[in-house]
Amino acid sequence: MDPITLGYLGIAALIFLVLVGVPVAYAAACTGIVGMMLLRNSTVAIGLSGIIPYANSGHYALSVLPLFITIGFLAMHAGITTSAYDAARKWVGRAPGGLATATIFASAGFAAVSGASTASTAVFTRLALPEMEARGYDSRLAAGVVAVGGTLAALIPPSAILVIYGIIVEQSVAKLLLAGLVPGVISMIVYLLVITIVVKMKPGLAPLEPGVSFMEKIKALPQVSGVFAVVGVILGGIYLGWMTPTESAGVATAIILVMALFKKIGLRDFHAGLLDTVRTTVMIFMVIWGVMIFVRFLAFTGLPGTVTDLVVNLDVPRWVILLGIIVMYLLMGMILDGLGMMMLTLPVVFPAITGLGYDPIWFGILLVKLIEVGVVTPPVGLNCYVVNGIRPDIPLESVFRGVTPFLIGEVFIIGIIVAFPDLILLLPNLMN
Amino acid sequence: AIFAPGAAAAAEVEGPKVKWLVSLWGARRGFTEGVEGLKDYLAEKTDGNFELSLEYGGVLSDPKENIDGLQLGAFEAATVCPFYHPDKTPASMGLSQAFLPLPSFEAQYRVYAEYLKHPAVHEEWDKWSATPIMSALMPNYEVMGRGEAPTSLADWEGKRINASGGHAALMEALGAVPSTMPAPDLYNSLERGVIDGIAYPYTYAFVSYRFHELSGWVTDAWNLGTIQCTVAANTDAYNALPDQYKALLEEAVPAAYAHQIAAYEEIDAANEKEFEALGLERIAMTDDIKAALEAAVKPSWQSWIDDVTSKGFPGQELFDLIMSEAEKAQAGQ
Amino acid sequence: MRAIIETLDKALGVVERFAALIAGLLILALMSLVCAEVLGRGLFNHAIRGSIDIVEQLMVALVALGIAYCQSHFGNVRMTLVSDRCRGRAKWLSELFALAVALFVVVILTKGSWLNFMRSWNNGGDTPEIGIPLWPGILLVTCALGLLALRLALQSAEALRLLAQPGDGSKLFGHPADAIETTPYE
Ligand code: NA
Ligand code: NA
Repeated sequence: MDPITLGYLGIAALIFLVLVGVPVAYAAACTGIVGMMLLRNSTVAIGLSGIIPYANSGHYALSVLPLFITIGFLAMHAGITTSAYDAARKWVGRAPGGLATATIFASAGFAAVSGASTASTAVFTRLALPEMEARGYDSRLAAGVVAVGGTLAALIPPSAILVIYGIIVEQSVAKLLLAGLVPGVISMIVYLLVITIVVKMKPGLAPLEPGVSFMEKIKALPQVSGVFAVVGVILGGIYLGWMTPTESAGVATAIILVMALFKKIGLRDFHAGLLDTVRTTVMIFMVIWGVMIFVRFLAFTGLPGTVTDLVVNLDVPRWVILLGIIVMYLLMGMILDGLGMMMLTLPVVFPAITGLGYDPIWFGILLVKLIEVGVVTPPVGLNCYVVNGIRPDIPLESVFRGVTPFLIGEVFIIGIIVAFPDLILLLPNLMN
Repeated sequence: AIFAPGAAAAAEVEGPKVKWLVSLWGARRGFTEGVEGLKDYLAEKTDGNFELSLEYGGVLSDPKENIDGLQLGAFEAATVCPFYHPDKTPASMGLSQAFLPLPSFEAQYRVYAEYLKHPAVHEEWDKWSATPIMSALMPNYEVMGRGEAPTSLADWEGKRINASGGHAALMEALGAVPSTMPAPDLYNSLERGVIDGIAYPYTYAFVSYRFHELSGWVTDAWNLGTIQCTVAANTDAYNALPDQYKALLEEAVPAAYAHQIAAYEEIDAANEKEFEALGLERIAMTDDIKAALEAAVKPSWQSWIDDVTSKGFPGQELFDLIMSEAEKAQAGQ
Repeated sequence: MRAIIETLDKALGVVERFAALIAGLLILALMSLVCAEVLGRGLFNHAIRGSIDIVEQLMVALVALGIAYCQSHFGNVRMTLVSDRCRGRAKWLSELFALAVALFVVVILTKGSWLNFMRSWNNGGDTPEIGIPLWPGILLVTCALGLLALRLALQSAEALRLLAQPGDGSKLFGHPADAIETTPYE
């Protein structure tokens, strides 16, 4: 069979396997192995794929991942999350939709210590959702806020998915992490605007908070010092060039570990947290292995080069192609898991994007934003599943309904990212 | 073909259609121009029948496992740098020792070719079912940095220099403090003064990471030595070639070197002009610096000799071969 | 049948958990190493020689040691759009299919990794800066993949059993629900 045709068949087989519920890692590896057996022979297929679990784990730049994940779980046990929420509530509770606003602020704070969006959503589903309900908030709005607030973790550094993007496309991880800050803050502001507008239109959704004295507000501040310590070390360390991303993650982990020890984290919690961290780390690496095997197969077919030539030589303005790619990701994001989706499409999409002259750092930010929209859209939206998983009494439909107004905001944010690439690249360019 | 006036009437070398996949990493750059030259030459002489399909970006294999891929027959050819995994080809590592007296590309490839012909080295590549075709040339290392220019030996004391392998030992000999960071992190570290300088292949590696923009000085033709990389074929694939293709491959190598050297010269000319405009201070080699470097490098050479000798290779003989060929190559110029 | 599977599950579980805990401790070792590197460079003007080599080998070990544990908790991301809608036999059939694909992949990877180990054992290979031999890391990966293959085989056996008796409960498939909230990667 013609290798290009086999390449397309491989992609179709992969999508089929993923849709019927084979884990992304195994589906990608299986397609890649069988494809290589057909294109070369079984010695090559077995030999080449057998190298990958070793070779693609021992990777210096990827060593930030377990550290980022450890920071997230230690932050929770060090009480940083609770204090961040408490402080946010005291400061912005009087605003319209005050507790929802506070949740977004606290999510942004937690985002600065967590590399992962589902973790963030899980934390605030436990922490903020019950508080909002107790004050008479509409449960759909409250559920939507925690689901959407969680996505900030992927943009505001540290971000695991930006690191993976950087490794796959060989771009500076340091620049990507810095680039995520501005769009992360923009997203936060847009979410706040959406809450304000929704609550102004339907004040019944969110009753007003009682006032808090100024002294109480001041007293709440020192508690969030942990967040600032981590942000300071990671951003400052990278920006000032004192440390590589791995090193700043290591130092931040050590700081949070000391704080957790001061809060007398129990041995059981510590033990459970370590196991959780290992499990998540392994999950990410197995997806990386699977996709790398699939990439080898695609290289043998010659498909990526063919598609790139096709896209780059299309006789339309490049923004039309970009728009097509954005729509493609939004549609895929409805049904596919974000990490797998990103890694499976990059070998084909990335050369086309750079071929069209777009900035690779900027595209990474756009891509992560699109993926994060995917985790809150039906029918497969991981963050919404998390809310529903922890709170089965809130139906999945209600969570998705609560997210809806924010999706309009997301379109607006995507527009800003596309229209103002210089704004996105502001911090990484300052680094030079 | 009747309707295509541009097509060649007949190939200069007749033969069957052969397509080789070549595993490379990174983007097309000076380092890969040798294979590019090889590819062009073969395509031209066979009217496209002997095709090298250059697979950049490490899509077929990471650089550290290219030699494994050759043994598996996963691809027909690849660039292999022993430096990434010294013990996979310990004898070939001899060519990647620091500060070897190989100041020019011509001297390099002549010595490399003679060395790779030695039966002991051949045996080593046989273990991997690989057949060396040519070397992928890499310019000599120099040190570039910012801050106070180290014009005398004493000035090097305490300078933090990014250097690896044998170059780290050289820097230590000058009293500098070597460290190793991943390439993408270096720009930032140099800018913020975490390191004072970087030992890298001159000129192109400095410019590709834009270190020159930050720097104030660079060593002037110190020729600290470089790493040797081999473009090798899978032996079965090589043996399966018809004789006229094997001959053509051999004939193509000088043309490929010429192509690569011309590419480097073009890059260097443009870069040197930029260095000039930036006013980089050139640090001349002084006698005491030279003595210090030579004193330091001899034990590192000796430790390589001892290491391969303990592995059953004729270490001293191999090293003497490098030195005698280097002398010949330089005398011949 | 059920009793045998559950006994094996317990035995494998002990090994997996122990390996995963070591992996967790290796993360802390990684943290300590990079902190030492930063301190060494910043305070004493002396970097740790070969720290990149060490970090890379640590990564190999900490990932490998966790893979079977991750699978035992169904920690690998998947789409449950179809399988959530299946009940009874159809559900276990779809699980069995997914596990069979996984088992095929892992057996191939184990074989391939073993060949990789044999090459590094016979032909040599070490890290560039401080010459750590490659074979121990590759051997560890091979063993870890073997352990993962055992876990997948056991889960397949359980899925087969449930295919025969869909009404039966299962300890092995007991708590996939907690997997979703602790997959915080995005
Ligand atoms: Na984050
Ligand atoms: Na979705």
